[in-house]
Amino acid sequence: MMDLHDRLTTLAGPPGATSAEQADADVARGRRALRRRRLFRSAGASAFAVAALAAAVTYGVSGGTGSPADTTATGTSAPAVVTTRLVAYQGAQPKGFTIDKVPAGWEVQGVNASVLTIAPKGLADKNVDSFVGKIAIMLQSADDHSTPTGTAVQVGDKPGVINKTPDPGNVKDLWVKQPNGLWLQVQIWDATGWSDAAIVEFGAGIHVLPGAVQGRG
Amino acid sequence: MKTERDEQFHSFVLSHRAALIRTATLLTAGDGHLAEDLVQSALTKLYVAWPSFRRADNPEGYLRRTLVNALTDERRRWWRRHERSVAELPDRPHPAGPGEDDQNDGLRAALRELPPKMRAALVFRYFYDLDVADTADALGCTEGTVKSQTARALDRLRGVLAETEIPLTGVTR
Repeated sequence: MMDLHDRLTTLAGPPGATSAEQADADVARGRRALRRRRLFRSAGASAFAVAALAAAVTYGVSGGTGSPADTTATGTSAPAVVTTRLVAYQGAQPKGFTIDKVPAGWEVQGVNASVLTIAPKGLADKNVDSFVGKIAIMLQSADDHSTPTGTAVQVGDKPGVINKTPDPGNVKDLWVKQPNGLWLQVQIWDATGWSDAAIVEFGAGIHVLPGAVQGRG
Repeated sequence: MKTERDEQFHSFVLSHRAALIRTATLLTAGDGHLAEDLVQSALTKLYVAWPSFRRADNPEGYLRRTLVNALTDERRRWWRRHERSVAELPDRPHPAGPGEDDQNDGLRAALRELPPKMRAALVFRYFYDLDVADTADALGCTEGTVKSQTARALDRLRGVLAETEIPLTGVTR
């Protein structure tokens, strides 16, 4: 009489051979998916940049709340530079983290057990697992035990690193080492207009709560 | 032109695809077409996340999680509509010997009755002999959930297999 393991082995079938053509097809599918993803990302980033420019707002890094006087039309032939201005966050605090400041005109948009997204108010893409055009805040993946490298910074009383990801566009990560040894990751999809000082100021206002959990992958 | 990622991934597929198909066949309750579809989706995700996979401390665990995620990802419906590049399934030897077809059909039907994650718990525990902790890691749940899911899966399996008069042996909780 066969036991469960034997029955499952029979049902799984004998291991067949993989041909080079099958592997080629898998590579081709992967390349197409990667290309789609990159196109989607760059399209998302461009759309976001256009929306930001259309607002014709120049921001200055500020710890206080904004005022109309902070808004200045660029009005020159040079490319408009959009500098992020941080304002005090007034909304409900998300699970897993607390936030002191957000970029003016942005809101806490989505949160699950392992990631928090901040996005421009009214952004159509509400999927918390989609980071296009947003800021994603999370703990370093449980699968990634590498130590972040880049420009060393001091984020409040914690050591941190800022680096640029190899992805197309201008994606920057701020990594902040937590007292328990885990790294907090703050991924800014389009870091155009973000000085390192602004990124550090923003990161210093993010506090990881005991309930935050690491994601996977 | 092949990139370094392409070459690494190609070698990985050559050495791992067959085993992935076997796992996927069980995860899909013996559905060969769905298993191929599942492996294609999982490999595509893996290619996109190749740098993360290469950095992973536990690549086997990463692979299992990718398969389970592809299995449970509702967006797979989208993949099924769009990924049709394999016109016919690759030839595989017929697994069943004389008299085994009925038993396979019974087990296939019993597995099909289980929710995907419960089925996956059973496969990882009783086909791969993974311990509870590794199974929990693959499924992204707690060890307690694995224990309860496995127990319920076995109960359901016994119930269905009893109707086909094929007893279940060799399992412990």
